Amino acid sequence: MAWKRVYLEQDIMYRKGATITAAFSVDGDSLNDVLYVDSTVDFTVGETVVLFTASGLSVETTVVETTVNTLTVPDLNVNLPQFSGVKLKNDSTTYDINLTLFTQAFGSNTIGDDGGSFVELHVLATGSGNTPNYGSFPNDTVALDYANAWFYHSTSHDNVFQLLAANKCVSGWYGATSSSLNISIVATGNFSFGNNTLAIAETAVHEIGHQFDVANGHVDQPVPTPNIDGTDSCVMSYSRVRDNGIAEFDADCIYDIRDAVDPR
Amino acid sequence: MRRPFEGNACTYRKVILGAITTCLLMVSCVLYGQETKTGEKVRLTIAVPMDAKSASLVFVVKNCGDKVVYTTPICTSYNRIVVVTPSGKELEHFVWVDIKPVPIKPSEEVSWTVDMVRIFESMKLTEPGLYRVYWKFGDQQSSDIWLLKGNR
Repeated sequence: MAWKRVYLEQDIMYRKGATITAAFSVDGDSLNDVLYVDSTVDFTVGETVVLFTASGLSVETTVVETTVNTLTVPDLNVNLPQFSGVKLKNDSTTYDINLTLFTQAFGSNTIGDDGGSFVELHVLATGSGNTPNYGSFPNDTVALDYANAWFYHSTSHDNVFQLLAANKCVSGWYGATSSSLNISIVATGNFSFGNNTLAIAETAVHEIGHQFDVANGHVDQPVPTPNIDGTDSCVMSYSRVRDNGIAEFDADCIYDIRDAVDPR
Repeated sequence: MRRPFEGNACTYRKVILGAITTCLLMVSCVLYGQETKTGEKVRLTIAVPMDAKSASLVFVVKNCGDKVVYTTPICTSYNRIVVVTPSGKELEHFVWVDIKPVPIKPSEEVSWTVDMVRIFESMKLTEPGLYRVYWKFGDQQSSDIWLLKGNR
């Protein structure tokens, strides 16, 4: 049995700051400029912030004025695409996804006797990085557009998945995946379990499972289906216990993943 | 499967195109009494809301069975809008979501209003022409509704 190797671009959202919701274009005058952002709750007038883009541009500036959804800053001479970021200069804390359950779910022993699915996941050094704080995505479309804007390897290879550690989505999901775009998002701020770290780690396994288009009756359904070890429901079922540290697929999902000729 | 609008394809293309053009379309594409894979009966209706933008559609699912039906929001998991482009390419619009499913009790209904312009934008559908749209809800499927994009 051959192993598959898939790559993860792990993008991690800052906890503070904001996302620019409308593209800014240089206007040619020397007056202050207004940036439209998702929220200004983290900013104070006079504070130094860093404007940054997915293409690597980074510019320091100062907050002159705020409203609910705008930041006024001194005249800018750079263009900022939609979904660029505003980061607090002195705060680099981020949301996080622990990847320790991936080996349990996708396999570790070379002969496959651990119930894994013969998939090796490798986190890419290139492209993985921090993304702007977006307090709460208003809907799934914006969440996917945001993720795609920061997906460095978006169109490079079929076997590169983006795993984004985000904050929240208004619709309340824990995670979301578009297998056609190779994007998986975990809304870490929507979790309220006994052990959120484990629940988030387990949800990340679930979302990457969707990248293989597993299609069985229990997937995203409240249908209990024992995992391969009989220790919990399959990690793809809504009936699973999320924060018990168990993240295993059932035999049908393992078959789907192993049978997939190529991810996507 | 009962499809109220089944008939001569050319005839109803003209009928529906005319109705959309005059913004007076009130289409109700209804499927009655079909079994889902878990045995419940639901009724799927797509309609044009009279109190919203003409490009909006409302998707209504009614639980006609005697068991609870679970769903996630429109355009997520097994609740998908399918668009067939003028050139025949069939595209499913959905994202998998890990969320607590919403129960629909017997005789209850749930509806979602969707701005189809935004859906088309997010799917990057720019080709002018008639698009066939239908709704997949679990194993069930609604009848078609046609949307016209651009000048012909």
